[in-house]
Amino acid sequence: MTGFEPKIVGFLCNWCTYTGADLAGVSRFQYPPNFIPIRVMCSGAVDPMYVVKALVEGADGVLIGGCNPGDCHYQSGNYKARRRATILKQLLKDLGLDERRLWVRWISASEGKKFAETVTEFTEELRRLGPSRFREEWAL
Amino acid sequence: MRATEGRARTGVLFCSCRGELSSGLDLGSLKEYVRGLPDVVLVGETAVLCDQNGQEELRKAIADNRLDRVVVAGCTPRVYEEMVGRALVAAGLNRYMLEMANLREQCVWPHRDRKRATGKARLMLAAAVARASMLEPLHGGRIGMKRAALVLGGGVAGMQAAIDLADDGNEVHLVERDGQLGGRTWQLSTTFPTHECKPDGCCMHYCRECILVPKVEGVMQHPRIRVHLGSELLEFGGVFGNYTARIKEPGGIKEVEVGTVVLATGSRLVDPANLPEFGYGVHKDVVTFLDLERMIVASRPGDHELHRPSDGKVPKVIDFIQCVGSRDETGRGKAHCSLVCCTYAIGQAKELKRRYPDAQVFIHYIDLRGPYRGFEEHYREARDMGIHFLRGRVSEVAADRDGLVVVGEDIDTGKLLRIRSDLVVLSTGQEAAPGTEALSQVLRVPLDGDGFFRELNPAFDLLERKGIIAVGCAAGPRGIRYSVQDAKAAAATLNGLMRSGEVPVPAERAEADEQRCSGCRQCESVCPAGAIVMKKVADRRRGATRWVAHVNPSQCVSCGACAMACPSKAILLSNHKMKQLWAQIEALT
Ligand SMILES: Cc1cc2nc3c(=O)[nH]c(=O)nc-3n(C[C@H](O)[C@H](O)[C@H](O)COP(=O)(O)OP(=O)(O)OC[C@H]3O[C@@H](n4cnc5c(N)ncnc54)[C@H](O)[C@@H]3O)c2cc1C
Ligand code: SF4
Ligand code: SF4
Ligand code: FES
Repeated sequence: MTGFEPKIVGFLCNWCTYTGADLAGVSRFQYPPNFIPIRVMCSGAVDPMYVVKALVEGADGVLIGGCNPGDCHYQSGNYKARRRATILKQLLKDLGLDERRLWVRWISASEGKKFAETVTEFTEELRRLGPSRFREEWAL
Repeated sequence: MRATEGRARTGVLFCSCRGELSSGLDLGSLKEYVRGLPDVVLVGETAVLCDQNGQEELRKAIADNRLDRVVVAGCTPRVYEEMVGRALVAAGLNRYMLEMANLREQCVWPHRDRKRATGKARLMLAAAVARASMLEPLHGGRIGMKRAALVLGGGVAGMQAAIDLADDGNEVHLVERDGQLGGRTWQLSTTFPTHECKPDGCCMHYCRECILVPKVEGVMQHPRIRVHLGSELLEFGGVFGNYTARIKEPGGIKEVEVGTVVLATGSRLVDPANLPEFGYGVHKDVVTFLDLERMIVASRPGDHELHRPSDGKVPKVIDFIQCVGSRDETGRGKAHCSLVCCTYAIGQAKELKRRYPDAQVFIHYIDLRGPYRGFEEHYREARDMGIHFLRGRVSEVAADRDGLVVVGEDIDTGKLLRIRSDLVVLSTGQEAAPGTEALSQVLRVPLDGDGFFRELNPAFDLLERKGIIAVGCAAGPRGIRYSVQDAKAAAATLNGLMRSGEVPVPAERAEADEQRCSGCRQCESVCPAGAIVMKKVADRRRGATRWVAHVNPSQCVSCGACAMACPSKAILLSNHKMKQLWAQIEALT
């Protein structure tokens, strides 16, 4: 599996993880460029269809990044996201996707380091898992 | 899938950010790449977008090329979106026809490998351009608002807010749970650091005498302040600018209409019974500093002697224990520092030492915290008076036949301490006032990690969008002066709003499509802002009426929870439409 570089799509909450990712940059914390951000208003606004879409379109992994429990800008969006992700993981598993390809992580606006570490770990995990075959399997 | 049919005229402007971007990316190849993307009619570069010249360039680019949308490739939208948006407006475009590719914070800075960073930048640009093609102009608005405010809590902060709001011409309803105004400050017979009480620059603004007494009268006599004592908020509804509050008064229930709200409900002291090692409630001579305050006050009109609770004896050895229930990592108390306890305990210790110069007064502390000007002098004076400051945690207040024993350590000498004590005073920390959580639900406002109301924060405009501001200790422990200043700042913000008579309605908000809505009410149940109401519409097809979701525009905080929950995809965020996300994802992968 040498040379394989996974592609990660991240749905990042505007208030926490997206700002945390900015902070990682401002602090010059390094992480692999395999990660591409999409800014959303809240992790609770991430439709499972977005995740499925990204995976079907060829992402090797998807990260949903929200605020720490209790810190959601809208109070409970992240709890909703967590509940939904649990169900979604089960579904994806039934569809033949390794559930380790979907990560849900709480990273606050002040946790730039944690953001960089999370992306690094996720990239390493996906390198180990190898390319996702979801795209070929579900190409319509 | 990118169904723009060449309608869009997208301009992509790279901001090289004084070389920041060009140093880590191959800008030449990126520009070449972007030129080939759908709808792109212009690719430009500016040295600095965030100054006047740069914005002038942007305006010119828009005009010269008849651009109808712009992608800025540069820094983070979190900070610069507002500013760039203004340049769009100046050029005659809608402020929301803008997408920013965050190449600086999220590509150049965290990735040193120029080649791979350039590769990632291509994807980010592709996504930004794809989303831009799907943008639609958004329009905010304004709705009229009531020139009236609800102030909850009649402590120093609530009273100050009420006065400032009323002075500006607004009707104010001040709701106080107690039978009298004054709050915590009223219970303190002295406050600190009050040093050199002269009005010529040394005044520290902390004295109850100056701060409180005139304020109570100012509130009671104000023609536009209606004080509701012994009252509480029961229900709260309506939208920002036009809220309805139901207040439970001793005489019944009163309904008032207000435009804005100030939360000034203060804090309460942590119950020391949660920390059994200090023996509060078990040993009579273990008291809190508020109990001591009451003892001091009671002694003044009498023989001016301090009598301890157990046997009335005048205490000769007194131990203050700091941070009881504050800065606690065991989970039994609070993790935060309560800010005023060191200042106050030192003040009380001084009072006792002044009365009883022979008494031995100890203050056990972890480290002394007094983030106020004047604290240093306050502390030094206490030391010079002979008060003993001992650094180290107290592990236990024990008792035997002869009385209390304070067991702990003195870190500076490394010795274990066993002090036979006549009176132990606990400096208990503060936590959110009782009922805070219930209020946060009634008003739908968030609490912070320590359970206090969240403070106004320019980067997170949720509360400003609701016209609800927490001040004073309701937003976490702080001294009198800062509580009063908070109240003044909040009142100034709200006065500005109410003076305009209109509430801004955000353009970024949820919108429901009546045709698609099935009336299932899923959205209503998840909306954290209570912005969704069901309304009846005529159903032409079936010749009957049916219920559909309607978003109250001024109340929606654009979280997207409804869009997520809606099984019919009938409700969407105006700035995060499905087709926009779809385009982004397709471009990325
Ligand atoms: C022991 C102690 C010592 C202190 N010493 C000092 C000092 O020396 N110097 C200094 O600067 N500061 C000191 N402080 C801090 C000072 O007391 C506060 O800064 C100040 O009281 C804060 O005022 P506030 O109006 O925010 O809250 P509070 O004074 O607590 O007033 C809140 C009011 O709201 C009412 N209320 C609560 N909930 C509701 C509800 N749901 N509906 C209606 N009304 C409600 C309460 O009854 C109360 O009247 C001390 C605090 C403590 C606890
Ligand atoms: S976006 Fe959020 S606040 Fe607005 S209506 Fe939907 S659920 Fe309510
Ligand atoms: S969830 Fe969708 S279909 Fe159901 S009421 Fe709300 S907008 Fe209508
Ligand atoms: S706002 Fe960040 S998860 Fe809800």
